[in-house]
Amino acid sequence: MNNDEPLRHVQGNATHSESGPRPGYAQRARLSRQLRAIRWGVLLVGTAATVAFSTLAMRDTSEAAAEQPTPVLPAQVIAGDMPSQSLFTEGLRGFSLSPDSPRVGGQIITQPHARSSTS
Amino acid sequence: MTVVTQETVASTSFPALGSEITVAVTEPARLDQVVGHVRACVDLVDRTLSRFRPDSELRRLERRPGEPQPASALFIEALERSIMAAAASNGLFDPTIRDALEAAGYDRSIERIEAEGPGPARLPRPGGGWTGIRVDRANRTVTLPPGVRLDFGGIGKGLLVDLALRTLGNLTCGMLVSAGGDLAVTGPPPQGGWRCGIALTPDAPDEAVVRLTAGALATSGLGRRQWTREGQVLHHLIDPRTGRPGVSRWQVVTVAAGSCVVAEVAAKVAWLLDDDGPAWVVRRGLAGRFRDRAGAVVTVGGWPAETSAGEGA
Repeated sequence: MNNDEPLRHVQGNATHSESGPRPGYAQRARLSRQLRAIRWGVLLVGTAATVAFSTLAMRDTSEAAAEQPTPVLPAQVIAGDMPSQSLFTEGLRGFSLSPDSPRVGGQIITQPHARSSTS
Repeated sequence: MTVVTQETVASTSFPALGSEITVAVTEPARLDQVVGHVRACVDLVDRTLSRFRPDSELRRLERRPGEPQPASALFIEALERSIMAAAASNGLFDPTIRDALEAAGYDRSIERIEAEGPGPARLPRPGGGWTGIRVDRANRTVTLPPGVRLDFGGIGKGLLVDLALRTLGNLTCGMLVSAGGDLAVTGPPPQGGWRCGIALTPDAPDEAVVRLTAGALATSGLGRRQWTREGQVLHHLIDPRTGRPGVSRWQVVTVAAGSCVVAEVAAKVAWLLDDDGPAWVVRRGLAGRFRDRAGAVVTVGGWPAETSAGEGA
C-alpha cells in the first residue's frame, strides 16, 4: 500500500475517498504506519522463531550426532599415509610362515598366542 | 632378526565389533600402551565404518547419494581398498552387497540376530554397485551412486588390524593384533615366531598350528555367522553374482598374506571360488589352507606342514 494515497474511511458498505488533508490526518497516518511496522515485525519474528523451532524439532539425535566432525585419533593414527599401492601387490609380500614346533628354546609351549578362525 | 624368548609375551583380549580383539606384545610393560592404542583404533573404525550405528560416517554419507560428500581419511582408505579388492577379484569381493546381506536376514548386529532371529526374506540383489562409486582423493570426497549401500564387514577387521599395527610402528617390541581371528604381527617376533592356532570358530579346538614371524592370517567360512530362516540355513558370505549366500565345498579357508586386509579379502574370495580357490591363491603368491566340510585339508602356496594341536602340546 502506498502511504501517500488518501485515506479511505469505510462506513458500512460505502467507501469515501477524500482528497484534502483534515485535522489530525498526519498524526493518524503516522500511527497507522507505526502499527503496520509493528505488525510486520511481530510477523517476521514469529515466522523466524517457528522455522527455527521446526528445524530443531526435525533433527533427531542420530542426525545431530552424525553432523559432528568425525573424531580423529592422535596424529600418528591417521598420519596422512593412505596407501596408494595396489592392494594385491602391496599385501602379497612380507609374510613368513613356518611349521609349528612345540619345543622352543628348551620349553614346551602348550598354548598358541592367538587363533585364526571365523568369528 | 631380533627374537625374544617365549616367556616374555603378554596378551589380553576384549570384546568389540561383535568379535574378540586380542593384543599380544613381547614386552609386557608395553601391553597397556598398545591395548589403549588398539582400543582407540577400534572406536575409530566403528564410528567410521559401522552399518549398524546411525551416527557412523558410513550412514551419514549414504544419506546424500549422487553428490560428492566430504569423507575422512579412514573412510577413503576403506573405500579405496574395497574397490581395489573388488577389481582384483573380478567382483567376487564386493563392498556393495548390503542389500543382499539384509535380504538374507543379516539386517542387525550378529548379537541381535542371534538373540532375536534374522530379518524377513527379501528379493536378493546381486552386487556390482562398486563400479559406480567415485573417490576424489585430492578433495577427500566420496560420491555414492543412488541405491548403492555399503558394507565393510568383509574388510573392516583387516583394516582395523593393519591400521593399529601400522600406526604403532614407532614401538620396537613385537606385537600381534587379532580381530575376530583375522590377525597380523609386526616387530621382532617371539623365539620361533608367533604361534597361531587355526580353528573353525573361536570356541572350537585348534585343528592346526603354524608359526607366523611376519605378515597376517585370516580365516573365512561357515562358522558363527549363520542362522536359520524357515528351515533354511543362511550365512553372511554373499556371492555377489547372485546376491544370495554363497555355496562352497570348503568349510573354512585360511590365507597368509603380507597385510591383514589382503588375507581377509583373499580368504573370502577363495572360499567363494570353491574348487578354483586353491589355484587362485597360488597365482597370487599367497599361502592357503582349505578345510572342507568333511575335515579334509588342502594346503597350497607354501603353507607349512601341519602339526595338530594335540601333537603340538
